[in-house]
Amino acid sequence: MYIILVNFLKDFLKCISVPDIWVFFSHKKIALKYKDTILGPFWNVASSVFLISILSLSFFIFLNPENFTSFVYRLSISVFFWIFVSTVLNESTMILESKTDLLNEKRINVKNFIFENIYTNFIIFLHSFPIIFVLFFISDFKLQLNIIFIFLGLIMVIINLLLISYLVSILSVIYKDVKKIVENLVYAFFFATPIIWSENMVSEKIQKILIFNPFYHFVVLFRNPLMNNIDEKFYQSFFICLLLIMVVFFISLKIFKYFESKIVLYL
Amino acid sequence: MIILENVFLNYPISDKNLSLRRNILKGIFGSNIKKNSIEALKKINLKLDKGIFGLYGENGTGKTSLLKVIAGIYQPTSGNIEISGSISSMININFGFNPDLTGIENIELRLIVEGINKNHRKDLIDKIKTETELGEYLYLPIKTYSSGMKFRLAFFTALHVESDILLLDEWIGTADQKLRDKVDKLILEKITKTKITLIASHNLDRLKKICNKIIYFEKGEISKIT
Repeated sequence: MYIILVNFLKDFLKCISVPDIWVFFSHKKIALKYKDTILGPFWNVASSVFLISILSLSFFIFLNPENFTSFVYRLSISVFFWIFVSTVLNESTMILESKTDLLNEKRINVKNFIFENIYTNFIIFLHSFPIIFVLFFISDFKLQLNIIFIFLGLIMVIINLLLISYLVSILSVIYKDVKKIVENLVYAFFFATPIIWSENMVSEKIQKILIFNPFYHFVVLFRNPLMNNIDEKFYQSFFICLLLIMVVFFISLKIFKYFESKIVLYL
Repeated sequence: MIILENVFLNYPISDKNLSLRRNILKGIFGSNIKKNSIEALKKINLKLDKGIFGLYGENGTGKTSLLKVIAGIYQPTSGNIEISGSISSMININFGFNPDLTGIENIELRLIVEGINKNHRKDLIDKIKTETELGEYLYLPIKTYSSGMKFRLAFFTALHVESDILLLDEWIGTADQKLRDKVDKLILEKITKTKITLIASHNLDRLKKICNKIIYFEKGEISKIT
């Protein structure tokens, strides 16, 4: 088990120390995806802005929230972040299949493609930051030192996403049902996570159940620092995410041991 | 040095075994589904030191599977493998290229995957650019290339990757006669730098022309070595 642990960690560290493969693929992927479009990666932002505008308008008409600008700001952060997380998870079901030719030609550490997926979507996600920045200054929130917690939150979310997408990518090659399961789960969690609604809109009982929703904790880790809200909920989500990393890490080790070396045979 | 001892390789082929529903039910109720896999390699014992080795056999006899096992792409189902030295390969029919990227970008991709550093990559790309003689086509996506053009790109890129072991599979099939002669010459030059070269083909005459030894394959097993 010790050797497996060392090899597993070595693979991840190798990807970090020699990022050439995944950085190359990410940049080419973005360039090809948005080739010949006027907005480039900003198309993703434009789609999110469109969704946010429709949702904000609906909420304004039907609920007429007290502080509309703060409401739009909160909604925007949540939607942009959700699109990042959900795209990473959905694309991780296809990332290894899309590299079939390459993996059949050369022995490559498959974790490179997990990094590629996260890095690609993170770059696209970064394009939404100018809008978040503008909305922050329009809203009632004041710039405070708490904002630095966003780095802590993002690191925690990205480590979780790395491990979860590693699991998903391997399992979806072996079990063809996994892709559909992940797609449906991500879709369901969009409604089960306080993205278009907030925690104080629901009963205390539902709020307690929310603790079991990992996506809720991801959202809290990213959203709360941007809303000057570093309270016990943030620390609670932080520790739950830490726990989640340990659990997913343990499962990933098992997957690494039994499946990773055989993965090309299934492609 | 390549040493293979009692190497077996099974391919999983059944869709039934890949169903999550079936696996869950199997876990709960047990199952009488026979494990479906195909034996691609059976009891392979080989010790290769220096030279050019040809792997000869009809389609589906295990030549490519053996190359992939040696390249570390496939992990054998059982048996031991010992390999000392770096490996470069041309195994897959698409050479691992991305059809949407240009010729130049695919050369870069291949060099990155081979672990060549950024500074050295630049020089190599310039050399490969000239040798492929693909001219302006190098700036077009390779989905517009013919098989022969893709072969040119893959071959000259592989040629510049320094390695101790070179693995080539049905490597000459798509090239025209002029290119074949050039490739033969270059391969022989390259072999002086490479310790072990393994060439899989079903063209026995061609293998006899350039190989020191020929390993014959039949139904996943080595039938003879001459």
